[in-house]
Amino acid sequence: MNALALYGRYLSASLRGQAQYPTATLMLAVGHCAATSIEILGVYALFHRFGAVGG
Amino acid sequence: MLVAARPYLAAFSARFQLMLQYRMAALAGFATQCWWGGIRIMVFAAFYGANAAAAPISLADAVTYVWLGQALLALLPWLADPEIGQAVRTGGVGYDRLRPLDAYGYWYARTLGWMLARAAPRAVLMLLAAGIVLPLAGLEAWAWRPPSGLAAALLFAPAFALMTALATAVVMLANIVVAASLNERGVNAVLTPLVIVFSGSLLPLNFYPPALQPWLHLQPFAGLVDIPFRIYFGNLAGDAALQSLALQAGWTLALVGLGRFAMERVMRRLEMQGG
Repeated sequence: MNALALYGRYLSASLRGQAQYPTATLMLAVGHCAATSIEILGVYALFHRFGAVGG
Repeated sequence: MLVAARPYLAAFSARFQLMLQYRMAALAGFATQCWWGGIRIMVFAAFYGANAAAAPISLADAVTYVWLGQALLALLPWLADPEIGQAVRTGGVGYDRLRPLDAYGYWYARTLGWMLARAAPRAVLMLLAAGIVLPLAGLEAWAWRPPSGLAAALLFAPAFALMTALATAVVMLANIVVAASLNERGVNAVLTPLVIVFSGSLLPLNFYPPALQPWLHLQPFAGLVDIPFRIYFGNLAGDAALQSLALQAGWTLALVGLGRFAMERVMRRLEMQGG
């Protein structure tokens, strides 16, 4: 089996494995989106309050 | 009364002593928290330098807020208790059902021991570094200051106890979700961002836009960081401090009640894996 097809098999096995725990997988997805967007929230709150910094 | 509490105290102290053994983890955590503390203080310094009049608290208080937050970082409910996660994965949670103990109380005592033992060495090291070494090195402006007065110090003691009790109650809710969903990764991924924002760990809640403030100050996670730390430097004093302590206590009771109810439901139809 070539490497790419093997990788495809791994990928699908991983996805099927995660689907065994649907609640956890859903929470994992939501959590990762939230973890990324809170950085933006922090930056927004600071600039909203203080205005421009050295610009 | 004392006899009834003995198994829970034993579970607490066994876990506390076990977790204290991980000295390298404590040192690594301390190093990370010094690094992040420095970065956060530099961010605050930059914004205060540009427009200090817009800030709700003084820069010295913001610096103390950062160091306190870094010192007590391990006391926040970031994750479900890994030992519960392991018990759920291996099916060991079944043994807990056989113990002649209150299941919620038993898990609560263990989780409390885990959190306090993780936080204690980091907090002591941070107090030495930011509270004593920094002022001695002539960097007084960037140091962790003592409480603003005797009243603040006396009010901080119950605020700290309630912060710990509330954080453990939140971790217990996560533990119960782990037992129900058979996996701890999902709930951990959701819990961490919630705690960062709503506890005031990312920014003190007073820094968010004014329209959101009434709501932000009433939600349960405010009692984890924002309330106790503002009591520490006297930003919350007198009646406002007492009201905030009542809010912390109320949310702690509410979350413990919710946790007991949820645990009862989950344990009645517990799905187990492993074996």
